[in-house]
Amino acid sequence: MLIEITKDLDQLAFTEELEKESGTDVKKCYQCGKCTAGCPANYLMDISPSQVIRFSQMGLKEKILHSQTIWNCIFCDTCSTRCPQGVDIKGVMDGLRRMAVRQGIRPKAQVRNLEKAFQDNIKGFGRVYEPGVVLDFNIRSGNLLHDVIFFPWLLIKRKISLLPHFKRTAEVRKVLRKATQITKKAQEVKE
Amino acid sequence: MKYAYYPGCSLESTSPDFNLSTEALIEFLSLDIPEVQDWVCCGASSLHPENKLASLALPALTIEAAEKQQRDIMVQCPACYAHLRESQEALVHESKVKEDLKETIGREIAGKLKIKHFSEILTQEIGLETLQSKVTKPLKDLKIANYYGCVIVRPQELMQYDDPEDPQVMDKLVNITGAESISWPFKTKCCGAGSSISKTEVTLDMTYQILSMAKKNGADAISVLCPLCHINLDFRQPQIERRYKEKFNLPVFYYTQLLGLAFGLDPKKLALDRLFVSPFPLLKSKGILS
Repeated sequence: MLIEITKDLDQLAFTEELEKESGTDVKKCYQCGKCTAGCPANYLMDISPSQVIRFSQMGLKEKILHSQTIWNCIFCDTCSTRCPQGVDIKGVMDGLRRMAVRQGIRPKAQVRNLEKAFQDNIKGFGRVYEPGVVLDFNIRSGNLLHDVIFFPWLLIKRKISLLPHFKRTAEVRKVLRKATQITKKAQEVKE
Repeated sequence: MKYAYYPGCSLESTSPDFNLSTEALIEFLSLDIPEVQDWVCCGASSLHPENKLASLALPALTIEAAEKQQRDIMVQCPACYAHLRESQEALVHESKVKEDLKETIGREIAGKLKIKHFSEILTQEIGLETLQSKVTKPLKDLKIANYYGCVIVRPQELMQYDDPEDPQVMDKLVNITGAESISWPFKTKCCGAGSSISKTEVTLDMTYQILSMAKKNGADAISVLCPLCHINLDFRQPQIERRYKEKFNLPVFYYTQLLGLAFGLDPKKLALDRLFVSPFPLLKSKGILS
């Protein structure tokens, strides 16, 4: 793959923004490839972790923000732990996700559905009732039977509890609402 | 040592076996570790992508609850552990975030307590010798692959648990039971827990590799310390066997269950009957249970 090294200021600004967002210096990377070698999710990625870092150095914004890689990273942190240069690759993936979302690029519905199911469970109960998360996720994804066929078996084994536990729900909801407000306000100030 | 136990939502709703075996050990060792009253969800990983502040605020509520009891926190779920630690870092060190947290919650939370995983309390505070002296039923002739997963060891600066490539905490605990901790390369390889619900086939791929590597290295069973690793390796094992047309039949214990067995505790109390891959044929064949 032949890539032209750029002096485009927009692209350099992207590198800077990403470094700020992820709190790590991507310029330190010297392309040893250790992150890619150890990545258990590499087989699901269209560009490898070390390529993401290289493209970040070069400011190739569109290429990275539209990649499948940032959504298929499983955040196991093997890459950052092993990086001889101390680059927080997981942090970069996380930062890229947030930047992509801000630009209106959304993850696949499945990922979003799961996050939503979790969040609603927390708001509803104050504690997460995991069987409820699975049900909620299934309803959102339109695949009602996913994993649910195992529920009777799980119940017979007494592996799952029958009912959710409620705890401090009003307070939890209030805290989440407030955190969202503050985060939004900070974002607006930035923009 | 004054701790309060934070079980977290997984242990309360889908991993009662981990919870029960933990409580059995607390009782057997006569430890004064009551539950944190009024604990709430740590936020899991669902809040993090868009709302970092919320993901720090929820664990802070639990930290505050333990502070009210004037106790440190003992935790079993590595994900809860990580979120509590992150929140504590923010409460203690990051002054800007600390201000935001104060505004979010409406109160200031000190966050200056200790947060420890139960396995650390057992090895560091109770001590291996004390534990060893209580072993009445050595788990002889049992080869265990200790599987730690990612979250408890990474990132090391945050978790400060053990070496991220070759941790030893659980190996030491398993060794005092009389079982043998085998050497194998996938101790901290990811099980793909984050994809377990949304992209199940990815998780099956990853757990297949872990089961297969444990078997190849001669393990009779696996020991874990994470409820999500356990669900994936134990509950999903029949699915994995069907998908890859390979039989494993590898029981997956929580380390607390292995310790309890060696202490001679009732298998029912340790919730061994709730494991999906039944451990009883193995335990009987080794003469550990009759």
